[in-house]
Amino acid sequence: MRDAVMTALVYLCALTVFAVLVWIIADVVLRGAGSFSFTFLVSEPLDAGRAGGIGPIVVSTILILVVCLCAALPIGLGAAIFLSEFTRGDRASGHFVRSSLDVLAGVPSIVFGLFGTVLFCEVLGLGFSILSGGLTLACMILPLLIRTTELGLRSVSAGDRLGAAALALSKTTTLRWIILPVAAPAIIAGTVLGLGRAIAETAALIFTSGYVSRMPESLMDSGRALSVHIFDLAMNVPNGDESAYASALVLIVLLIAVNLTTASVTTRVLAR
Amino acid sequence: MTLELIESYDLARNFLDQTEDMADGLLVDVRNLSVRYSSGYALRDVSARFKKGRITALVGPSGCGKTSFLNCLNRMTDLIPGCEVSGRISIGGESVTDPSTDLQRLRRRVGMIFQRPNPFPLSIRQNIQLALREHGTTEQEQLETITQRVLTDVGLWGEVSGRLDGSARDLSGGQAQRLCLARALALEPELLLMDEPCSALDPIASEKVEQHIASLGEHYTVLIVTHNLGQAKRIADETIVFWVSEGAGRIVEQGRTEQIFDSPTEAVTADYVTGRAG
Repeated sequence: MRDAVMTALVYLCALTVFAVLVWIIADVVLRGAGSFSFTFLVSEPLDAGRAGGIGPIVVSTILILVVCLCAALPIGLGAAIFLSEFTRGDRASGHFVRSSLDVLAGVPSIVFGLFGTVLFCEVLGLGFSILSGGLTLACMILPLLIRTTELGLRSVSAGDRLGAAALALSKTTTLRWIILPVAAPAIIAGTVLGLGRAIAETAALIFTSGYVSRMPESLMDSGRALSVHIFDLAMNVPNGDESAYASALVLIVLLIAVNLTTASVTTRVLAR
Repeated sequence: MTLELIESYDLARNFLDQTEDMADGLLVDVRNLSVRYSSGYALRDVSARFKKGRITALVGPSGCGKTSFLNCLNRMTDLIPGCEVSGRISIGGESVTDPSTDLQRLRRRVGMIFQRPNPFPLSIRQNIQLALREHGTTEQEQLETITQRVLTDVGLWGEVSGRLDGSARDLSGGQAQRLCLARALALEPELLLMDEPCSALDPIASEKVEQHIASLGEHYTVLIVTHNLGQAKRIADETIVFWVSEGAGRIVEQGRTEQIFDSPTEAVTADYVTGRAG
């Protein structure tokens, strides 16, 4: 009897989680699908976003993500390699970097936004630009990226490492040919998690990449990200809900697409 | 002046010793070796000498320092945090224990096979060629020749020649261990260290690996740690018995395998080889 109640409860919890997800997606699809079309995807927004499309916004979003990944991936990989290969668990330097990362991971994104405004927009003189926004996002996802990558690197078995040392392979060769291939799925997973966070980010972008909804001509132009666009339509534009939902639909499809692509890439890497 | 004389005398003496040793076929000379971990001594004041072209079995109960002994010979001990090694080891007249020893060169000269087969997560071909490339063999034709030769040496060529580009992780345990052996042989090491290479394998795979190790005796010098006394008897020319006394591993006896098993001089050895102790 008690088992039956527990079983029912557990099922109920799982169902609740699933139901919330279905509800969100259904809501967005039902309300957004009406105004969604190919023209919507490629045309300029009109009347503060109530009419027209989101072409420039999609372009800005993608550019911001590209900047973010270009900055975060190499730095993240390097830091993760430092943590897993050059420090042992008890070494002070490794401990210091790891705890700073954990603190950094818990910092609210709005704080990253303010930090980015000061450092990238003002001190480094990049202004409100796609570059500033991407770099701010990179700072934000670095902790996540580094810790997942480090876990992946650490998961390489001692046998492989000893085997490489016994064959007198250099650190670089061991890293390139033995450690990185084994850690690749974890690195990809970390990247996707980071990318997911970056796509959905609003607070860190409002103050850094800005509001401008024109088509960006360079990375130094201000560009409005999808999430910022949705926020603006929902909060500041009366009767902007319809366009907000249509944009949200695009955002969700983008997120799902990123996840599916990586899932298939990971399987392919693992199959090698 | 006197000091200089003494020094040059020492140098000459050392040189003479070495030349004698070479003529004698001596390859490995271990003197007063001690290994200490944070938990205590694993080996204390151990000396042993090994001749070229012989297979020597290192036997003894668990925890008596056999693996530590092997790890000193290619300085894998450097990778163990908190491990301190003292004493002198030379291989082929070159010092192993000297801090200035070129580790890359040492480990190229001294190959190692581990208890668990550890093929790299690469293709079979890459497993063999990675280290060769690293150490300066770049010509593709030569790489392929060496690959075929070492795979043939370990009896793997017939089994895998059609799938050299397949993943080495798909091999069975015994095949993987023979690949690791081939990988080590490709570098033409002067000395091969094996740490219970058959203990993680099923009996049939184990027998096959054992046969190939036995056949190495003609061209290579092999030190093999084993808990399988039958295996030591079958493949080893010499046997060396380790034992724990006063809290640290020591060498009790070293000699021809028949002599160790049939007429040991030490009581401990006799008890161990007949199964009464250990």
